[in-house]
Amino acid sequence: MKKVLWLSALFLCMLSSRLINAQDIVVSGSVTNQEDGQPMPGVSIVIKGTNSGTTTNPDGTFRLNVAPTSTLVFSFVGFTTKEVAIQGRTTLGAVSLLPDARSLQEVVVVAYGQQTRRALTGAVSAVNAEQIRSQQVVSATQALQGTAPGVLVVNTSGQPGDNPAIRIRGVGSINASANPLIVVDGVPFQGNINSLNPGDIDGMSVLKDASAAALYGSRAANGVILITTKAGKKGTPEINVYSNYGVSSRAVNEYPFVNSQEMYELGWEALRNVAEDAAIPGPAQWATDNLVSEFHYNPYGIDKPIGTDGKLVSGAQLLWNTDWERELTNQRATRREVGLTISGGSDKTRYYLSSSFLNQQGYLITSTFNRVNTRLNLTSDLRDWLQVGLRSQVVFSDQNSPDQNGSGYTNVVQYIRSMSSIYPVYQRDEKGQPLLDAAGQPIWDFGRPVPGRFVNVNRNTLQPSNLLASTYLDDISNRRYTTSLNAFVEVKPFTGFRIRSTFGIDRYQLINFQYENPKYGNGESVGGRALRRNDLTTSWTWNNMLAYTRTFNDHTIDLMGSLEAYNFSYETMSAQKSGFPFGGLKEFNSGAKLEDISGYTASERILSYLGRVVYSFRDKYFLEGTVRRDGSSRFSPDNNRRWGFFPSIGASWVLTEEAFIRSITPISFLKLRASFGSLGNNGLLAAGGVSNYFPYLSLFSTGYNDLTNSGVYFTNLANPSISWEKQASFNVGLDYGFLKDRLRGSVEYYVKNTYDLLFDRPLTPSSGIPAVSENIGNLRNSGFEFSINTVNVRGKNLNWETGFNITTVNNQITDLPQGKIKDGAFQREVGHSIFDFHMREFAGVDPQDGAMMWYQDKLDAAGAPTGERITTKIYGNATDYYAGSAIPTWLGGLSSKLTVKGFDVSVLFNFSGGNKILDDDYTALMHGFTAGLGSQMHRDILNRWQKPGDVTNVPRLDLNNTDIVQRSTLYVVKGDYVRLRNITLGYNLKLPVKFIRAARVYVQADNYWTLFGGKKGLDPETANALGVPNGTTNNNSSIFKTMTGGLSLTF
Amino acid sequence: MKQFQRHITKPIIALLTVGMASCSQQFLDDPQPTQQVSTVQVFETEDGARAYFNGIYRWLRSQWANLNESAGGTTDAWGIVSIHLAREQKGDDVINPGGWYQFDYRHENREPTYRRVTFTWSFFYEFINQANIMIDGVERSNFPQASKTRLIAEARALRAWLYFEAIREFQHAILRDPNAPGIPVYTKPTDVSTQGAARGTIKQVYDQINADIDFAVANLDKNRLLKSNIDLSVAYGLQARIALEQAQWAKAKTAAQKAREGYPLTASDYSNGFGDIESSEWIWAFPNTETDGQTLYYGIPNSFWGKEGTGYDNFYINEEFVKKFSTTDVRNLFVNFQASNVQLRWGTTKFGTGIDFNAAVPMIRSAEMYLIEAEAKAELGEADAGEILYTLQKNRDPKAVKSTNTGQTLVGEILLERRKELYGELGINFLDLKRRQLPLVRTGNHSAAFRFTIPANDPRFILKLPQREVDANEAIGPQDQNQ
Repeated sequence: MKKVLWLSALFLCMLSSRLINAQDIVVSGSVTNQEDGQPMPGVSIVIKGTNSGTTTNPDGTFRLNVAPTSTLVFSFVGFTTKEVAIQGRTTLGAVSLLPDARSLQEVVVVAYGQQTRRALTGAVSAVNAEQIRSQQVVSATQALQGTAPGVLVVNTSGQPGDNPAIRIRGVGSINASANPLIVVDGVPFQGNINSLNPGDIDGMSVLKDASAAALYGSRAANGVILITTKAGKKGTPEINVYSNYGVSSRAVNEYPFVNSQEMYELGWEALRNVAEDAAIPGPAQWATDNLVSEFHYNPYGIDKPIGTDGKLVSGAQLLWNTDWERELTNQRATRREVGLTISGGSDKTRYYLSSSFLNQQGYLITSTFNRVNTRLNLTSDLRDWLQVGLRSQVVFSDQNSPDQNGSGYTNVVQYIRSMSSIYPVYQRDEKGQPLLDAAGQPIWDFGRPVPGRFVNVNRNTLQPSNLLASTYLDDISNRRYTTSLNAFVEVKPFTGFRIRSTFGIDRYQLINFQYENPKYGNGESVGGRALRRNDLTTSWTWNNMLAYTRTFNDHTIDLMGSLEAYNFSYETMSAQKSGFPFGGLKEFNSGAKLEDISGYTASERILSYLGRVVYSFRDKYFLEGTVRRDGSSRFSPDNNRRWGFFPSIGASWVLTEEAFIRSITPISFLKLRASFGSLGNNGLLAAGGVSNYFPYLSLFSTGYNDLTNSGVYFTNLANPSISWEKQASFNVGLDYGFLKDRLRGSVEYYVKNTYDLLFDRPLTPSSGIPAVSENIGNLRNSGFEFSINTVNVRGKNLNWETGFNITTVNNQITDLPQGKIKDGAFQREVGHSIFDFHMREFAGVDPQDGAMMWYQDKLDAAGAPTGERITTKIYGNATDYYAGSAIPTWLGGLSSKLTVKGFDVSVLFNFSGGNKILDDDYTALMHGFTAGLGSQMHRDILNRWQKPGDVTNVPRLDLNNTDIVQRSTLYVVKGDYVRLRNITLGYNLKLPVKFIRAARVYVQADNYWTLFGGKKGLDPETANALGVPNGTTNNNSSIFKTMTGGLSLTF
Repeated sequence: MKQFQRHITKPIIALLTVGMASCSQQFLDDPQPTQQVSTVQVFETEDGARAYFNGIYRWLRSQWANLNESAGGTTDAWGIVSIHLAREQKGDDVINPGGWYQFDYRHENREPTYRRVTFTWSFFYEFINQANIMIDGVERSNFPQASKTRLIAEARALRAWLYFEAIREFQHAILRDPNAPGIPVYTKPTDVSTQGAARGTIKQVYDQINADIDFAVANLDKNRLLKSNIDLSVAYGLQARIALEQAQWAKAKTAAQKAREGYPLTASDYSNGFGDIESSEWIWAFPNTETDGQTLYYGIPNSFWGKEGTGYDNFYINEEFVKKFSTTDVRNLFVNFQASNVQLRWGTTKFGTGIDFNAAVPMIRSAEMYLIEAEAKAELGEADAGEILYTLQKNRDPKAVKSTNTGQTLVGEILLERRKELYGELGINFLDLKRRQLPLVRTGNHSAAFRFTIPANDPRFILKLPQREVDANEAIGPQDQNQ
């Protein structure tokens, strides 16, 4: 096997060069669009009967050496091909091309090849280079949001370089990975998708049903995203230089917080309530007297800032008023990008070379992402029967990613939501005056207790910490090196027959480096600490394919058979040291104590056999069948568990090829298609969202050493019968085009039944094993997809196009052997979605005593619910009810582009909704002092119940009662939102400089407007700690908005 | 040319097809775990079984989270020490002005979905299952019978201890009502088909505990690798505690005497930070070491007791408790920390003045065995009960005066001595209130809000069962939930 591998590599090293023949005359001219008269760049011009020719320049002109008797063939995607005989002329004038019915000719990248829209039997959404480039995304897949029907994109983090979560047509798995398979230039991609420069992408195809995705069957159950990078075109070399600059900040504003005075007055009220409850005489006086000693911090500097009336005493002045959000965010985060591409090609060889640099800062302090990438794509026809190609990239990226989700002290987002304005950044003395060190400098306040001190020490909140001090000095950096090499050789031994061998390898190295400085914070007690983890992910795919195409009379048949081997390995090593005496020296050599060192290798393999048959009759009827058989190393070799079989069948009928339809003039295109097939998923996940590679083995983990005695510990309970999760997918669609395709789009209906779900069946906790992996339960995602693209105005100087798409998703569990499975805020049950919230239902606050109430089932004598509900003030007695699903039931996008002369304006909206969000971040801000006096609070706390008769949803302040932070429907909000993803204003300049062939300037705004009904401060794109978009919040950073200006020049 | 093309086509196809297909089985078999071993490998040799014990002891004291990380893994809920520290919070002697463990201090951290509840339950039951896997694996092994018995005895002692700790978190004293609902008992390793067990009664749980610890005492010896391992002395110590809880005075007395054999008292521990695993009176203890990532920042007691500003530093001592120590008592290590903020008035340096990442954690000490013996003898009416108490007292305080009391008055003095000797370690104040069915009466300088009284056998003395257990266990329904 290795030998063959070497052979393939050798082939690729042999690149051809070929001299261009001398020609007779020079012909020049231009190409225009017959409909609007606009010049057409990039039109392919081939000398008939040869492979040589050129493409038109950006201004639509061309020059070509030809024999005087030859004929030129002009072709362009979406236009009717035209032939022009030279007849000895040297100028041809304007050659006009007529727009074709677009639906027919559009070429779409599909599994293991390309097809025209006409021939397609499956459901595929394509996003082109222009759509990708028009958004300032850092990670390429973000560009699918709103542009690709059926694709839910959730930006779960505001850290530049973090990738969004993607769900195609609902959520198809519960415990297995629900992420789609990403294939770059035909090879499954296991690196970090943020390594791809969106500008290098020629197009993305999203394969959504079995017919489209079946050839990736074993890993296609969650859909497939095919990314094709630019390859270069025959013609004059094109040099493009581009640059842009932008400013970013948080897209939605932070939750509104109480101010210092409100914090203190509310604290007084809470203490008075405590004193009342404890029957302390003179509760108001008691609260006034004890306020400062309970808060520990006093920004007013006077002994009793709040009077016995609960109001700030007159004349009290704030000595400080810290805006922690301002302190910990970067209000002027910048984006800078420069890039260069060179592309072109001769008769035999086509090339694309690009290099770019991107620097995008996040809105949290120290958050940044830098990427330098270089790509070289080459395709060469060595002989008539031999083609070789290379797709390669080398990428370096450097990300500093301060902690921005979860409940750790170092989470900057949580810190902003915990520290109120009464806490100073720098230490203050008893009277509130700044404390200075020996050098006269202010001293960071970590909120620690200090012997002999009582005020402005011993903070109630997040003690000891000061993220302003530690975040700048600490590092959490990810440096990534990605090398992708993807080479192919194709042999055509005789007409219609192709042998193609593709070998793609990605090496993705991640160096995660964390440094805790020795002066402040976590590293202080150990004299500084550094942790470094080196991960090397290597994946290769080797595909060998035989294909045969033959047309006889009206019949065309395509056969394809292939063998594919996939190998994935993950090698990791990490070490941790402490004792770094010199601030700034962070490498291990400077550290004194080795705290930890560990490492391992994980690997998995898949071996696949696949085949496809496509039959078409008169380009009118299409029939397609595929089969795929996969073996996965994740499943037991015994009892037939290892291998999965995934067949599919699809058919389509182009109605406009029938005479009775063709006669209806307004209809330009109509096609009906249907598919049915099976897809698989082996992406079983273990705790923490990491892959579980050996679910069929009971395993003890090593490394549990007791001092120096080596130890093992039982960590994996086997299920030897675990096997493939399967999905039966049905799709029926209608593609339409009216009025010469000025109105076109499609309507689809899909049903995806996932069965034998890879499911972590919870065992009873007292069994000592939380869950075991099983193939149980069925799940169905179904819905409609509708898309329409219109050319509203098409004219010489004015062009206006609009696109709209909407998808509905109905996610339902259809079988669950256990009946009901409770999982945190969710409950799984047949007839409900996999993320149906299930919790106490809030019943209001009792106007009499200000206590919270929830609903409770009234039970009959036998203990069964009577159907009647009563309210209770005891949380533990209340009943859990369903409270909506976290999965959006509708989603889509709206885009529009207006071109007036050289100007263009485009907008893109995306929307989704029908889902619910459990806003735990808001819950935590409504703690009502149960999280400590001085911890930050949402302004809604001002609506608290104060006296009998008050009608409100916020209970009486009570330090000793945590009812207020209990999970209930009070904290569930609707997730419906519309976001203006992008608005761009561009102008194509006509420069009087000859060597600049095209120039464009633009300004654009990304994520500048959001319509959302949740609490102000909540971003509708939420995720849990693992980045899974399940409608919960976790103090994650959220998406940022960017205003950018840019320039692009083509030479 | 064409001929050449045809010529090479066949071999290429043959090579590609045959090459890949023939080695397909091996290709897929190749990936194997690199950091995990199978059950067969573990129980192939006695060294393997010993490595499994090492892993269990290590993980008991580490930042434990359950296997899918849905319980534990936080600063106040992570391993056996966090259970002890939570109990410390629930008595009268410790004051928590805010920060970690304060919900325990307030007696609020007991609802079915709270982390104290889910952690405590999952923690004990995970290790119970590990003990069952050990017992089952050893039974099925080819070890010599004597080795098998020895290994099983150690695993059963471990299991007895785990059930004993767990039942005291989720139920009141057995003496209150032995027929009250217990907790599920499992003695076989969990597999794919395991069903949840019912609560049974407290008595049934103690029957299992007694059977296990008695078997262990009968079959263990004093050989061990580290003080973290359970040997015969530790088993006796556990048996003494278990018998005391059940008011089996004679058994408690004998076991306590046996347990402390070879572990003489030493007062000097109190001057050196109480973290030396080699201390002569420490019978069972968990080590810590900075290397190999084995120490946790919050696993070192002084991260909470210390007041030097590098830890969480939020555990203070009640001034009423401070007053109970004479000036000549070596244990009088209280530091007047703040004069006016009442809650912060007293700290302790029992666990040292700075943070030492190598500080070990005591689990059973001879001093406690003396106190168990004294209490048992006092209950049995034996004349030298006071003498045993005095043995400890005079070791700690040269000016100690021997008590002349007997009966319940003497028992009261012993209970106070247990608090003075063991505070900060096991949560003895809280455990004794439960065991003796006494109310918690908070005195001294607790803040007004938490200077409360909890009646004897109040529901707040026990945790509720985790909601997940009620939801997933067919044998336990909402009606089985604790009050």
